[in-house]
Amino acid sequence: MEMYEVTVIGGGPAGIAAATSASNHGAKTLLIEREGKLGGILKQCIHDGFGVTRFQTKLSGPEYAEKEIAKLEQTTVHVSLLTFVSAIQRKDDLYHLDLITRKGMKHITTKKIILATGCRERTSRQVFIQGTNPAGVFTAGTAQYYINILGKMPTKKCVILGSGDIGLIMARRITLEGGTVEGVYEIKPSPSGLTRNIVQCLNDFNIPLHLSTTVTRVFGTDRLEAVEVASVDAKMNPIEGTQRVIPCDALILSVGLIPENEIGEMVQIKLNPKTKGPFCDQTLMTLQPNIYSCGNALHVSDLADFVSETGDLAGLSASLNKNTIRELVKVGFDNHFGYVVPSHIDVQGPLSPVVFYFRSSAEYDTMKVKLFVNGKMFAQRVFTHLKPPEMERWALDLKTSGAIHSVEFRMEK
Amino acid sequence: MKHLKESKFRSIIAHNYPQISVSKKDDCLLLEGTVESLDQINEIGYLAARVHSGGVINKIALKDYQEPAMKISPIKDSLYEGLRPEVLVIGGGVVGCAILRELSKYHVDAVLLEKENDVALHASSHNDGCIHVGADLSRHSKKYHYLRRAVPVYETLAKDLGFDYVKTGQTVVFENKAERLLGPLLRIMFARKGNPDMQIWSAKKVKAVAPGITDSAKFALHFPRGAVVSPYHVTIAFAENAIENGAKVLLETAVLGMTVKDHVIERVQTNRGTIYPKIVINAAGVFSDKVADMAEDQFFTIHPREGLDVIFDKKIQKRLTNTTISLYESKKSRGKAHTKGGGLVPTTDGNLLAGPTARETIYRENFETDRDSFDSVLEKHRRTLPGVTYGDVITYFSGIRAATYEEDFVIQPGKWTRNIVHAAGIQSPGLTAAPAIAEDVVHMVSTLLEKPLVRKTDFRSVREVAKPLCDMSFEERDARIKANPDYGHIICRCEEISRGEIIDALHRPLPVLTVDGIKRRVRPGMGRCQGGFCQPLVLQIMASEMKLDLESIAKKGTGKILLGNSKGEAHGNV
Repeated sequence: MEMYEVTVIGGGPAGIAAATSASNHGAKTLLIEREGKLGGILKQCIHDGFGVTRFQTKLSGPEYAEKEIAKLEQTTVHVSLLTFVSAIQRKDDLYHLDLITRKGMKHITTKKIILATGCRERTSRQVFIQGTNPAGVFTAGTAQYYINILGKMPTKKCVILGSGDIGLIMARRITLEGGTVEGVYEIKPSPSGLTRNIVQCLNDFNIPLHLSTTVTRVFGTDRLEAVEVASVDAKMNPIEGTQRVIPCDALILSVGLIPENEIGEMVQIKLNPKTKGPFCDQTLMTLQPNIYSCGNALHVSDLADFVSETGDLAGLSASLNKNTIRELVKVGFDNHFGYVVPSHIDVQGPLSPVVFYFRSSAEYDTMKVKLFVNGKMFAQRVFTHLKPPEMERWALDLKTSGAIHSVEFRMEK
Repeated sequence: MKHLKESKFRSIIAHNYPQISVSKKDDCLLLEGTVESLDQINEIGYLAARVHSGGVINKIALKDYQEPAMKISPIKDSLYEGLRPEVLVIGGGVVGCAILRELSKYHVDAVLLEKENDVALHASSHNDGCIHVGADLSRHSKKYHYLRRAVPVYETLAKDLGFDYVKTGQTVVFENKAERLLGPLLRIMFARKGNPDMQIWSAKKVKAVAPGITDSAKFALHFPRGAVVSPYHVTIAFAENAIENGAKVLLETAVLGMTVKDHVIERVQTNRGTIYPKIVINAAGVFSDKVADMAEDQFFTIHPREGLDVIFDKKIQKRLTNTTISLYESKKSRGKAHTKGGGLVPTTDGNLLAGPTARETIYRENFETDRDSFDSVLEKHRRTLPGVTYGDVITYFSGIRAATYEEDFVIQPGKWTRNIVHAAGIQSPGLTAAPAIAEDVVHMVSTLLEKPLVRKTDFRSVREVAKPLCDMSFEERDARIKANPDYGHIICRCEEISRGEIIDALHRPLPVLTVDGIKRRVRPGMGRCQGGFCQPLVLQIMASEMKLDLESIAKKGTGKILLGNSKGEAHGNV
C-alpha cells in the first residue's frame, strides 16, 4: 500500500502550490487530480490579469498554470491524474483514501490531507429563477468551457445575470466571439466583480450594466427564447409592474461561487457559514487534526495569486511535524467585516507572520482597520476603497511577550 | 361526492350560466358554451360529475382563449406508414409502458407511440415517486382497487426490472394529542383499507426515524407498506423490458387523427405515417380525452392540474427524515384542494423531495414553475421539518396531473367504439397502480381480440441492468474497472458517475437522444452543480458514441445546447 506524508486533493492553482511547497519542505507528497490535466479552472481562463503579484507580470490563466506546473515538475511530488477520491476514513492518526482510477481502485494512506478542491458555481435554481427548464441556461464557467475549450458558441444573444468576475469576463468573451450581450443584470445596488473588470469587460464594449435588477423567469420549452427581468426593492424582492421580457437565446449566470467541501465533509471538517469553507487556524489546518484547506475551497478569492499563496502556506504547514495539540482562539471582528480568514489563531503555533484575508461587509472609502489582542490595540492600518467584492490582505507579526487570549478586528472611519 | 339530480343540475346551470348548453350523448352529459374563467369551467364540470350519468364531456371554452396545439416533433415522414400492429398503445408514460410490458408477455404484436423523444417525459417524470398505501382513498374508487392489487407486487417487480424500491413507509404526524384517542378506531379503519400493519408511533419514535421532525409532533400513524421509487426509472424499465421481449416503442410519433367507421377505428394518422391497428389503447395522459374524442369515444374530460415539487441536497436527507412524512391536515384545513397534501419524501437517490402543490391550469403541457407555488412548498413543509432551508434547494419542477371531474381513473373498453381500451384519467396513485392497470387492460384487449392471448414461454421477466458503480464494494468496483477502464473515469463528480456508465446508457434497448435522457438514466447533472461541470463532458461522450456533431445534440426535445463555432478554430477536447 502506498503511504504519503501529505496528500493534496485537487490539481488547480491551490493544489499545485500546496504540493510543490509540501514537497520542497521535505514531505513525501501525492497530488490527486480528477481531470486529465493539471491547472483546474485556469485552463479555460484565457484572459489575462493572472500573476501580477506572484510573477510581477500579467499572464493568461493557462500561462499562469504552466509556470506553476513547471515549479511542480522540479519536485518529487507524485501526481495522479484522472483520479477521484471516493472515500476517506481516519484510523489511528492515519487517513485512508479509496481512489478511483482508470487502472482500478486504489487504497492509500496519508498522515495529512490538503483540501484544494476549489469551488462550484451557484445555479439558476439556487437563485430561485422560475419558468421553464430549457437548453440555454448556463453558468458562466460552463459557457466559458464551451467557448474557450471546445470552440463552440452556447449563445448568439444572451442576458447575463450577476456581475461576478466570470460573468463580466464572459460578457467580453461572447462579444469578441461575435455574440451579443444584451446586458448584465445585478440584483445588488453595486457590482459584484472587480472594478478593473467592470471597466475592461463592460464599459470598453458598451455593454450595459443594470443594477438592482434581476432575472425572475425563463421562457422557452426546449431552447430558451426569452427572460423576464424586474427591478428589485431594498430587500431584493422584485417590484410588481417593473417586469419586462427580453428575447434572447441564453441566460448566463454569474451569481456566486460555493467552496466545494463535500470531500472535507467525509472527515467532518466544520464549515464556516460566512465563507462556506472550513474553519481553520493561521497554518490553514482545519479544526480536524492534519486536514488543511487552501484556495477557493477555503474561501472564494478574487485573484489566483491569493489562491496560490494559501496553497504555499498549507503545503509548508503540512510538511512540518506540528504538535497537533492546539490552543485555538477565535478571531473576532465587528460588523464592518464580511469575514476574516483564518477564523482561528493557534496561539501555540507560528505567529510571525500571520496573513489575514478579509472582506468588508459594505463599501467604505477610507477606514482604519485595527487589531486588538487581549483587548488592547495591537496594530492598525488604513485601508481605502473597501468593497465586498475586493478581498484585502494584511500580514501581521503577532508575536507578543505574553500569552494571547483574544484576537479581534475592528474598523472605524 | 354528494349526488345531484340531473334536473337540479340543469336548473343550476340555467340559472347561473344561461349561455351554457347541457345536452345528452347517450347517457353522458355534454356541456358546451363559453365562460369567463377556468374556475367556472371546472365548477360546472365538478357539478356535472355529481349527477349519476355515463360521464362528463365538458367542452366549455374559455372566452378569448385558443388552446395551443399539442407539442409534437418536427419530424414528418412515412417511416411507419402501413404498420399493422395488433395492439397500438398511445402514450409512453408509466401506464402505457406497463401495458406494453404486460402485452409483451404474450404472443401479440404490440407497438407503443410516444410523441416525445423519450418515455416518461410528462407526469411520469414529474411526480414524487411515492408508492402509496391508499389510506386516504375511497374504497369504492378505481384508484383504490388498482392500488390494492399493485402494492404487493411492486417489490418483486423492482427486483425483476432492476429499479430501486425503498421501503420508507409513510408517516402522518399529528400535532394534537387528543387525536390519539382515535387510535383504536383508526387501526380498524386502516386495517379494512389494506393496512393491517399500521403502527401508532410516539413522538420519540418519530424523532428516531425523522430526527428533523417539528417539536410540536405528538404522535404519528406509520404505514410500513409505503415505499419510494424513481418514477422515470420504473417507466424506462417497463419500456426496455417490453422491447427486450419483442414489443416496439416508436418515439417522436404523435397521433394526429383517427378514421372511425361503424364504431371501429380503422386508421390512426401520425406524423410518421398511417397505422392500421386492430386494437388501440388510450394511455395518452393529459391528452387522453382528446384521443378518446378522435376515437369518437369521449365520455370523460381531463382538466389538467399542476403540481410543483422541490428537490433538496442529499446532505440534509439522512439528517432530517428516513420516512416519507407529512403533518396531518383535517379535511377542513385542507379545504377543497385536490392533493393528498403532499409530504417530504426521501428519494431513492438519497435526496429529499417536498411537494406537490395542486392548482388547476388551462395548459396541458406547460411545465413552468412559479414563485408562489415554490414558496408555498417551502413554507408548508418547513412546518413538518423546520430544518429544510432555501439554501438546500437543488432544483424544482412542475408536473401536470390528468385529472377527471370524477377524480378517478378510467380503465375500460370503449363506450361506443369497439376496438379501444382506455387507461385514462391517471393521476396519483397512477404510478402505484400501473402494474395492476396493465393486467386488466391486457385482459380487456384479449376480450376484444376475441382470442385468448397465448403466453410466451421465453418471456424474460428480468431486465439486465448493471448496478451503479458507486453502490459497489471496493473489490467489485475494482474488478469492473479492470474489465473496462471507462468505469474508473469519473465524469459527474456530484453523483460519482463514470464514463463507462454513461456509454452503457447510450446502448440500452430504448435509444437515448438527449443529455436530459442520460441524466434521467444515470444521473450526471442531477447533483448539486446541476451539470455545470459534467454537461460539456456528457455532450462530448454522446457526440463521440453517436458519431454526431456536438451542435446536433439537444438537452431536451429539439433544444440544442450549442449554436455553432466560435470565431476561432475549435480547440478539440480536453
